[in-house]
Amino acid sequence: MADIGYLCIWLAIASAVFAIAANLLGVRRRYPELVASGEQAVVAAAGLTSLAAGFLVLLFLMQDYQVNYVAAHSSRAMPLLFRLSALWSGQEGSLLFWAWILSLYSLVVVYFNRNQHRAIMPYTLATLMTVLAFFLSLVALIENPFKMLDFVPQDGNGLNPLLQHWAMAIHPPMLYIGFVGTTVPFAFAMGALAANRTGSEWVQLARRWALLVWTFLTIGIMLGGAWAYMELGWGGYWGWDPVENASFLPWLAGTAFVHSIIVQERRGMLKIWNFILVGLFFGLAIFGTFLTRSGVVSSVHSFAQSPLGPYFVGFITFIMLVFLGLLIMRWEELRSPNKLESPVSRETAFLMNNLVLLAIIFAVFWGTIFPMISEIVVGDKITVGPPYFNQITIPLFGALLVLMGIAPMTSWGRATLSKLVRNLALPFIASGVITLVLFLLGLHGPALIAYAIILFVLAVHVDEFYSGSRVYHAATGANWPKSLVATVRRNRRRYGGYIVHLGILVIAIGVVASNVFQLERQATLKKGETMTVGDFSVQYQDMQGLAFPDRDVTVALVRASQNGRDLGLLMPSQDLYRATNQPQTEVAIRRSPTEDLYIVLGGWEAKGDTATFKVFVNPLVSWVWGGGLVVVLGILVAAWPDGRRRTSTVRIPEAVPAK
Amino acid sequence: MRKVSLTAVLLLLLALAGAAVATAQGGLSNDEIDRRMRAITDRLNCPLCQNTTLTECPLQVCDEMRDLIRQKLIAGENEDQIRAYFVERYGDRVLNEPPKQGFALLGWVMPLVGIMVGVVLLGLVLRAMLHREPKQSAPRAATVAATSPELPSEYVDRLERDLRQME
Repeated sequence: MADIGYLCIWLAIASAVFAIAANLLGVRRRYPELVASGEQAVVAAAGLTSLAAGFLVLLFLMQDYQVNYVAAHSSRAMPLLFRLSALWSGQEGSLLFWAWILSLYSLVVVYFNRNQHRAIMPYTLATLMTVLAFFLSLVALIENPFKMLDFVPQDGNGLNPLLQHWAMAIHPPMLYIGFVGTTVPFAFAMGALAANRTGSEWVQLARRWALLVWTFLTIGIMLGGAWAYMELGWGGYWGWDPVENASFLPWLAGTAFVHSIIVQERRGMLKIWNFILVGLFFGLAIFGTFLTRSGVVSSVHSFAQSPLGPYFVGFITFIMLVFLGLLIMRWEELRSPNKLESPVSRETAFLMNNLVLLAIIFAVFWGTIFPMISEIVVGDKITVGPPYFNQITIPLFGALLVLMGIAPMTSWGRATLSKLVRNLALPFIASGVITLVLFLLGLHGPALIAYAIILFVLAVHVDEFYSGSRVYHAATGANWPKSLVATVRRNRRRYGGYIVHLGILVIAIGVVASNVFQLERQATLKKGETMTVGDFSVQYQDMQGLAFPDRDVTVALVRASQNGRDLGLLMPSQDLYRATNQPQTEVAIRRSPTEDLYIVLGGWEAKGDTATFKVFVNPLVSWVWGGGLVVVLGILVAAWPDGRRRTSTVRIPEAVPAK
Repeated sequence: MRKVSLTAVLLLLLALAGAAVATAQGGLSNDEIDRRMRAITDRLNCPLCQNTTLTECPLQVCDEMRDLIRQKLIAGENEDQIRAYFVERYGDRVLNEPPKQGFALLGWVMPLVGIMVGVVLLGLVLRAMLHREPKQSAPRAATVAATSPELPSEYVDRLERDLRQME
């Protein structure tokens, strides 16, 4: 069966290569039949890649340990969920998984555009298939997951215990769906450039895909944070680890892109810039895959080391050169005929937003690769850790939030400063008053500044929702909640975007609180002894050992209370996996909307007569996850398809903008 | 008003960051020592493991390092002195951020250079866009039509937009 799987990969490569040739030849020489056959080859490539991935999953389910990859990443004792997720837990499987998702994306692209966008589709498909062929070749030539051992081991090595967690089972697929998905808007951009259809057509296509992809990246990043929070036991959820950065960079580029295309849609400007951003979006996603998969940066995540580096660099260079070449060919064509009419307009606000996002991208990118540069140039492998990223990016994030507050109050085209100031006055004063109250309540320092900014942005958004509803209320006499819902429904793109902003604000509130006001204490307790952290008391009661098929678990029983109110029993534990002899802490978390009590069992002596605990009180961490949900909700509001009515959204009849 | 508040906020942010580092030491409460410990251990690495901060590392060595930091804090040393002590003993690798000297300084400077280049470029682009003479569309359309057999994209845009409005 492994042989058939391997054969499927080669057949899929053949289909992809045929699809590239047929699509390109067909469109250049104008043979519609050849294009149609190229399209069918895309379907075939998707089917074959799916078969290959399916065979690998089947081998995991059948526990065929003669297959090296199965033996290395699963064991008999593992539950079904982790046996499935073992598919993407190693190098070979991840690459196949990457290719599989891309092939499915290509299938969806073919399906939805079978009767439309005929001019750009052949080039789009050729781009998708080029990327697919590259990844499949890596699987076929370098990282073959179907490689057989010459003997049959009794049992497999099992999965790294760190990864045996529900969030880790779904975090990689979400992130991969995001990473891989960036190929689609990029392919549409390539198609538009190659077919010389550089108007709004590709922007419409790319926008939806970019939003979808951005959402998956958001969910993936959030799940990664949730996993780190629950599994790594250091009390936080984001550590600026190179691999975290790898997921954050395309997210930032995607954020810049979905903002910047609005300017092109509304004003016909920034055409070239949007191409560059979509290239960056895709390029950074490939870079992220490269970073995770090549093992260039040693980090928690780099479980794999392999000779993939040069291939990735070569591939990124090749595809980016083609892209830039096409862009330069169309440069004159793309120059916008429109004039920026005012320096305080919405257009400028979007440009500033792009500037700040790009600055963050550059800083994070530079910080991520700097250890490599330093190692190559001066032979010193230095660490670039959270203190670096925090110092550089926090002011930039602050600026980004300020812009998020100002931009909604600017107007398109001929905006004036006095009008902007008038619009901002009310939210500014309102948030100023609340900030003053916070100050009088004893909040000060950087947290006060952060909250002042957040409150200001919040006030602006509340104002936007309010003024929208007021118009509807006045016009129809409907009650307020109804007016609010109607306002959002009538302009879902705009208000959906605002809901995403609100989600980001909720996240920001949580991030600031959990970083600035975190409490932490470590103590070694005898049975019956109590330690206090903030409002919380934690009493060590007992320790018990449990034996599972694959691991021994040592559980500490602790009784927690807050201001004398009993919170019940919490059970931080340590797992010892027999296969690898690796200990793994399982944090006990008692969540609440205001703060999490987070207890780590650090160690114990004399069979549990004394035990060492690390206890954190993490304020408002739940807000970070809650904000993530609001972001997803906002995207759903903004991008949920509803057929024809979608067009009644923002598009104010502007005809061809000022000539 | 907007300009003033923006600059004020940024300046205040900088000032406070500076103040936080330079705060004088006194008789410290336990909570205060915990807080400072955390601030210091977050910015130092375990000298043996890679990419593990002193806050997280479970090794014996790191336990001892943490005890030492606590003693030094109680003895009244400040963050800079403690950091300098560990750098002298273990070298730059104990720092969780690039040192601000030598080649590693480039790590700090480049993002700032990047931001400045970005600001200048944006300024130039904005100026160019503000003073751009509106192009005449007729000759432009003619050249497009001459080079491409398909409809000029501008017309396609227009057509699409109008069609959408009819729906």
